[in-house]
Amino acid sequence: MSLSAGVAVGFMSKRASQGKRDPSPARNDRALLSACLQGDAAAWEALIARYQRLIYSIPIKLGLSPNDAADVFQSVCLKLLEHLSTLRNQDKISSWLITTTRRESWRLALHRRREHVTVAYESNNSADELSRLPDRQAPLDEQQERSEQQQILRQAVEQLPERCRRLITLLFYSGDQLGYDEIARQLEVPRASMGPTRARCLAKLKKLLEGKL
Amino acid sequence: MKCPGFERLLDYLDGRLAGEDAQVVAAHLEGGCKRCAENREWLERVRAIAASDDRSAPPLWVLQRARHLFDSQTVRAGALDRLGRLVAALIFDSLTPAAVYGVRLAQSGNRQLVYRADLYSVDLQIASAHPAAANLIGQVLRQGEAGFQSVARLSLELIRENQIVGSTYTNAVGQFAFNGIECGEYDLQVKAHGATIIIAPLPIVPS
Repeated sequence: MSLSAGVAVGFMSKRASQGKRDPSPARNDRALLSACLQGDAAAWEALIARYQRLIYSIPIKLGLSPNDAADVFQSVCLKLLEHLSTLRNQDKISSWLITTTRRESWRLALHRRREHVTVAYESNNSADELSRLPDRQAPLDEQQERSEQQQILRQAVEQLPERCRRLITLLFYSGDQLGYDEIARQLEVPRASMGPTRARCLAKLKKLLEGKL
Repeated sequence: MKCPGFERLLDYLDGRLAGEDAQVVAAHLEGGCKRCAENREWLERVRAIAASDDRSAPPLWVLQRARHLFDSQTVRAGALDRLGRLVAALIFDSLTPAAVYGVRLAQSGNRQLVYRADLYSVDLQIASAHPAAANLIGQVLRQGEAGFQSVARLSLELIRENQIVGSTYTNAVGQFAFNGIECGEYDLQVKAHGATIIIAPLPIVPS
C-alpha cells in the first residue's frame, strides 16, 4: 500500500530557517536524558531543539523530499524516546542520532523505491539498492566527523551570552559576508565597539570549545 | 616581539589592518609565535566548520509534532506494558499539519495515518465509502525485515464501545481492510506474535 506523504508548502530555505533555539544550551545531553526519564517535557523539547538541524539535514542530503525528511525526523525522535534509558549515560548522543537517522532515511528511501516498482518485481537484494543511494558514495566517517563538529560549534554558540550569540551568528552563519557596519546596525551597537566585542565573543567561544574541536 | 593581542590578530586575519600595522603582525606571525599561530589555526578551523554547516532547521510543525511524542509515550507506555500490550504512537497524520499549521497538505482526499509500536508500524488510510461510512485499509510492517513473514496472517479486531465490531487477517504482505465502517471512534488491535498492538482512539470520519 502506498501512503503518499503529500507536498510541502512554504518550505523555508536553509539559511532563512532559524529553527527553534535550544532552551537549555548549558545542560549536557546526559542531564537532559535523565530529566526526560523523569518526565520533564522541557528537557525533551531542549533535546529536539538541540539536534533538529542534525536530524533533519541527513534525509535532505540523502535526496529525500522535505515531507519524507519530516517523517524521518519524527521516526528518529520516537526512537530516541524509546532509547532514553539506554542512552542516558552518554554525554553526547550525536553519533547515535547520525547513525539512526541514516538508517531511517535509507529505510524510507527503499520504501519509496518499492512503491514505484511493478508488482512483478521482487527484490531480495536490499544492499544493492542501498548502494545506489547518493550518500553511500561519500565517505561516511568524514561526513559523521563534520556533522559532529558542526553540532559542537552550534551548541557552543548557543551557550554564548545573547549579544555574542547574535554577533557570532551574523559573522559565521549569515550566509553573506556582512561588514561591521551592517552587523553593528543589526545589533544596534556602535560601529566602533564591533572590534573589541568580536574579540571578546570569540575568546568566550574559544573557551567553550576547549578540548572539543 | 610582543604579541599583538587577540583583537589585533583578528583584525589582521580579517584584512582590517593596513600598511605598517599589518606588517608588524605579519612579521610577528612569521617569527613563529606559537600562541598566535594556535589562535589563527583555531579561527580558521571554526570558520571552516561554520561555512560547511548548511544544515537547515525543520519547519516548526515538525518540531511541534516531535514534541507531542513525549506526552503520548510517557503517559501511556508504562501501564500498558505491564499488560503485555503495546500502545502504538501516532507518528504521522496527514490532516494534522494542514489543519493546524497550514504547511503540509495530503495529495489525496483520504486521511493517512502512520502508527509505530516497538518494531512494528501500521500504515492506515481512511477513505469515504458513502456519507456516513468509510473504508479503513492498512498495512502492518516490521522494521528490519526484508520480506513480510512477521506481518502475514495477523489477526485484527476493530472495537467500538468495548464490542468487537469487525475482525480480519492481514494478507501475505501485511495488508488488511475493513469496509463500510460506520463513522465513530474505534480501537484497532493487531495481534502480532505474542504482543497486541493497540491503536486507540482511532477516529473513523469520512473525508
